[in-house]
Amino acid sequence: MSTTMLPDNIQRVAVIDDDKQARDAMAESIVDADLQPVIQQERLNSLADLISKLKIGADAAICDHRLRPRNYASFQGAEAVAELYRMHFPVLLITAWSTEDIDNIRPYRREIPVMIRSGGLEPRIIREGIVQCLNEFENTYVKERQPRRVLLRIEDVDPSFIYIIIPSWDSNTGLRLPRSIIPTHLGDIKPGMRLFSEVNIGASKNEDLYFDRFEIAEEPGNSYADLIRS
Amino acid sequence: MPTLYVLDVRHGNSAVLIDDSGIIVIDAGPGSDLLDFLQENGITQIDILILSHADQDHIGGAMGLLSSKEVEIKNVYLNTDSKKGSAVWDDLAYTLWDHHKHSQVHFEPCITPHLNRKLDRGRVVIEVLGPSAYLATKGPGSTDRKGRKLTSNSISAVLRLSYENNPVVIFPSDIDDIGLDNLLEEHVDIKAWLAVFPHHGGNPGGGNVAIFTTKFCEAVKPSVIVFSIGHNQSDFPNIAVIKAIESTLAGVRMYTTGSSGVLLSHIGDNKDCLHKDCVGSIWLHFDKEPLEIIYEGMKS
Repeated sequence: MSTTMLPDNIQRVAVIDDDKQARDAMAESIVDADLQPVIQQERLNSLADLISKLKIGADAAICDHRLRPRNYASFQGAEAVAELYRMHFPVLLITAWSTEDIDNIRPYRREIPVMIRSGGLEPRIIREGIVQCLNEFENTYVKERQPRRVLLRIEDVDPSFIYIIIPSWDSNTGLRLPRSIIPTHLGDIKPGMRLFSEVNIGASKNEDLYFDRFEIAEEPGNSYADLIRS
Repeated sequence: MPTLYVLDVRHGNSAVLIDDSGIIVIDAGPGSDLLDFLQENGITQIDILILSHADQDHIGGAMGLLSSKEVEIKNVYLNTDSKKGSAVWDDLAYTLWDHHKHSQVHFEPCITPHLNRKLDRGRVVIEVLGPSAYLATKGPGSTDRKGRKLTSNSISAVLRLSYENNPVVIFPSDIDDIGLDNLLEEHVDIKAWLAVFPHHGGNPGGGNVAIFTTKFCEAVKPSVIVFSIGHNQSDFPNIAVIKAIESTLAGVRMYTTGSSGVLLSHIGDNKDCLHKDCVGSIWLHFDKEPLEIIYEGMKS
């Protein structure tokens, strides 16, 4: 059993997954974490439906990202986790981490404190993950999740994605972000532009990076304009 | 008391000097480790940020620091590098301008000995040993007096910190064999008690690594050498560097900030040596007599 201390009011952990076998395995891990699993078996018609069920029957949740395949839910797991995070309800996301999943999850990543690879749900991770959620609700972050305002360089743009470099994270590694992640009020985003955004640059892996609070970076003025070389 | 922290910033360099009248940062490493350190220690203002050259592992963290709005930086010094990719340089210009809009920052794109006596913020004397004004003006891509091609590493800023007339620490940044030759031609004495080894103990440019190391050690004569490296490194420091150091300096102690398979294996083969692998950040108090380093790994 894991020794990470949880508040007394965290006992019941909901299991949200479209696959029965996966639900049973998750429930087993929850029991091993000395917590009580609450398995969600019926279809979830909406996010509101999920939220009302959790409010009554659970203190935390573990949610798979892909919930639609068996007509189990009308929404994706990442969307649900982000919504619950905003309500300060502790929840962990499970995903297979395919490239497609990373792109789908990215817009919600700021509000997903703990993302666990399928098959990696250990009792220790459950307890530590719930504690991490509770800490973030109090604005206390682990280094890998600490938001930092940083510069983004736009390398390329296509109809679906923008391709960026984060010089203060790794100037040799390009990343792609879904275009939908950039607020429309920032206008047309073009290669060569710079943006500022809050990013958790303490994260070591691409899939763990989140982006929030975008701003257009103003072109340097005064003597700083003379430094520009391109 | 004046204290120096050589930070574990993974593969990169960053050091923080907390002196009586101000805080000086020498290089910013990559990522957010420097910013994390400053926040953990309640530091919200840096008097001087010195960036030895424009490589990612020295300035990446500076861009995060300048953008963060969490720490005010009053002065920034950096040697220009016309050969460096224009995009990275432009990124730095954007972040400098952004910081300047929030809090006035003095920026000077030149680090040469003309700054000596202007960087001190207390009892520790900060000396710019190189590059000379001549080399800095010529810049990367040009040649030195002997016709050798200069790279950005050749003109990395080399700094030395002294306390009560004793040279304590040298930061040679990523200086290569050409830069070292030029430095030695201009400075007879570059001795220091502790050296943060150039280029993380890797290959110093096109020259022979053992010859470079021997020349560096004979000139600096350090008692302690620190390799600022990332974790799980199998290439840093180079085994030829370790062996050349040991054959040049009797009783020297070597430390790596991150975990080096090379040094660890060397320690395993030489049970009596005093080296330590993966110690994390290192610090020293300048007024301790005799000088001694303290490191994070001591806690465990």
